[in-house]
Amino acid sequence: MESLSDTTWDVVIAGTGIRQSLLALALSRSHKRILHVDQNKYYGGTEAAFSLEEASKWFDESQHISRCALRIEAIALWKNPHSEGLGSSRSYTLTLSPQLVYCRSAILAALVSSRLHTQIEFQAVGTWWIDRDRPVEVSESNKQNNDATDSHSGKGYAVAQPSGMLQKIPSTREDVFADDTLAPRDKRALMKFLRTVIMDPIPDAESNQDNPVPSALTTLSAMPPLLAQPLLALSMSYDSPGTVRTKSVVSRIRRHIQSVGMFGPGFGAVMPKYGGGAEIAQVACRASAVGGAVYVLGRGLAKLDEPRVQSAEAEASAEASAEASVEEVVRLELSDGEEIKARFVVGSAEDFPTGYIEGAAWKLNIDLVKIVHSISIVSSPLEHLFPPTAESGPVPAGAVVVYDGPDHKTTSGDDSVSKAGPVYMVIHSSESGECPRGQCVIYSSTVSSSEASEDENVQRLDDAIANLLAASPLSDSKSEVLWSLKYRLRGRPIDSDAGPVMSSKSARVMLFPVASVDPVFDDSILDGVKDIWKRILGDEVEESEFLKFVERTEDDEEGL
Amino acid sequence: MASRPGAAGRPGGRFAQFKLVLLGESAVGKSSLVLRFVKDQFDDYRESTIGAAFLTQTISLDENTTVKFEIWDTAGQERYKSLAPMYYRNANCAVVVYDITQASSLDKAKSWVKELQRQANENIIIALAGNKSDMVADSPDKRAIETADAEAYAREAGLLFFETSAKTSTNVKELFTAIARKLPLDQAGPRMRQNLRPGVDLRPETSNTQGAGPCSC
Repeated sequence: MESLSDTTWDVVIAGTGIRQSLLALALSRSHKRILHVDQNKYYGGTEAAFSLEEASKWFDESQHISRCALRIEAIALWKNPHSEGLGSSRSYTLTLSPQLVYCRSAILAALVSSRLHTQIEFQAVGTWWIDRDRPVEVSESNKQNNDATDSHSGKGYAVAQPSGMLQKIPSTREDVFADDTLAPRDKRALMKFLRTVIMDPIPDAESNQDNPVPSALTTLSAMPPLLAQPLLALSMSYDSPGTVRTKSVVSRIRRHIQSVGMFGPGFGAVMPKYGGGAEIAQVACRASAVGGAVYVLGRGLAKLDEPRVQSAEAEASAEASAEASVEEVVRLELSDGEEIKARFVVGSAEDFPTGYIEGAAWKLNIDLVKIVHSISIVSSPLEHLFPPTAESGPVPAGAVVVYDGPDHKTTSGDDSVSKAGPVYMVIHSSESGECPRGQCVIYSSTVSSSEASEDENVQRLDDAIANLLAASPLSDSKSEVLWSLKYRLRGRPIDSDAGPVMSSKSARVMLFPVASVDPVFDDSILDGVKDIWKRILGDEVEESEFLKFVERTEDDEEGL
Repeated sequence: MASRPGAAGRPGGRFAQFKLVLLGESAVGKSSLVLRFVKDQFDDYRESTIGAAFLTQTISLDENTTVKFEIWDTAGQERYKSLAPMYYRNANCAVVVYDITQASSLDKAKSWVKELQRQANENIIIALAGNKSDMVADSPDKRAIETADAEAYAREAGLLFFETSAKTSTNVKELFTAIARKLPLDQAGPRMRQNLRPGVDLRPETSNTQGAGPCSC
């Protein structure tokens, strides 16, 4: 193969995260010469998936790389010193991208229309639970058993007694009807809410933010907090119960409820096997490689020169051939020193050379929020969290537990809900292919509240997990955290406007909008990808052709 | 968790799907092996594969057992060492191909085996295929790698081993069948239990009509 510098690339894509990979997929049938590079030696960027060894290497490296700090920063890596229960490094696929995908999400439609869905195995996310926290003093014997977990943080826990505090959140009218823990009055209120949520017209994207839906919202606001809280949990929104009274929450709850049953009975969200978003990104890159794109890992963009007229000769020959415009190319230097030329360069902020974004005077003036995350490997399968979705439904591989603790009552007393946002724990069973059998992985996250110290924010994640493990039927020494990785993710607030694709003066260098921190796959990602795809291909394509491909036949010469 | 029948719903039958990746130096005949296996064809003047190709082939091991291979044929970009990892990610089995008339191609094959054993699934089943056996049938002096040497290496490294010819189809079916027989069809780790799919069909409305035509657009 000729060297990278011998070609004038139509598109150089920097970074192999989900957005770049979806762009590579979108361009995979365009016959463009595409070079897809990543500064890292692994695929996925901030949406990568790792074995244990890779995860600890990532942790070590991120301690002294400031560049990726734009989006993601490692906080702590911990291995349980008292347990031998960890499997081998490669029996784990731990993902930085555990986003749930609702059945109504545009990404699923795009994966189907681009024929990628046959290469990704989707699994059901079954039950949503709320973990009601009622902390009690830990007895001495209990403390002994939880000793290993305690050393996790170096602090003691107020561990709740395992007394059925895990409640299934009803999300269908059948659920509400069947739930005998609910008082008749509460049942009526829930029924009314579900009815209004379902009957309210689905708002279009325009009216999404500020135009509240009166009926559903009023119904929600009128509910007692203990009843409203589980419903808020269905929104997968990080806001604290006291602050969520926006239209966005209602439409997110609606999305949940309206997704149930779409691809099978009893569930409304799915997750890609083997690492969530990381798997989607890699499968998209594979399709792009089948289309002929060249992949080079371990090389990033070191230098970038805005396009100018190629040379006097080129200009002259272009004029001679009566071309309307002179070819504009961006000159790039890769991190190994190789110089290459490209018509378009696309990436996200962390893939561009340090200082380039500032130098180009691009304004990223969005208020970013910080979310703390942890990935925890648990020594038991927590099977009770994964009841079958329905008689004939698929076995769920995922479950969601929402923790609102430690106390619903604030000390100030005038409000009856806590100020801290909820902790979401997305639990993946070993069916996800992410851990050995007999274990599970908990992906937990919560907003990094500015009112609390960072330690306290991180502590909330540990509290939530300790509570969950204590509330499980196996709350003996068998359920313990074996390993955990904590990190901080920065991004746009959930449902905030993604803003436009940013491009340089020459329009040859483009930047994806800042990603959001949504724990649910953010469909606006596709808008940014589509925008860039259209800018690159221009009149060659109709917008309606975005990610719509016919099956590659086995006779397809681009294939075998 | 109780075992369930395969998603394909063959009553009493076992159906398992596995991901297979082909690796090896360029021009050793990776694509030709796949083409022979999948379509029973051979083309003397195949152009080299651009990026990679994806094909499927189903074989029956016995009356009750069907194995479907998703075959990923890689090519061309070995130089950057960046493509293979995304192909062998989650692969259940690999065929590492060399050309028995090219001594250096076995060295390359050995380095692929090493990489697979270091980086891929721990339970990956690897087969070593010495291709182009037809070329030495008439002129034995063209052989650069002795069968016994390659076989000894394969035994030592724990690989299945065949000398194949995509051209005459010698040992091609045998190679893939041997792999299928070695794959754990119902026990083994979660990665292997492809027949117990908790999977979700994203196109439930079309699943009944799928074999009707490959392209409805």
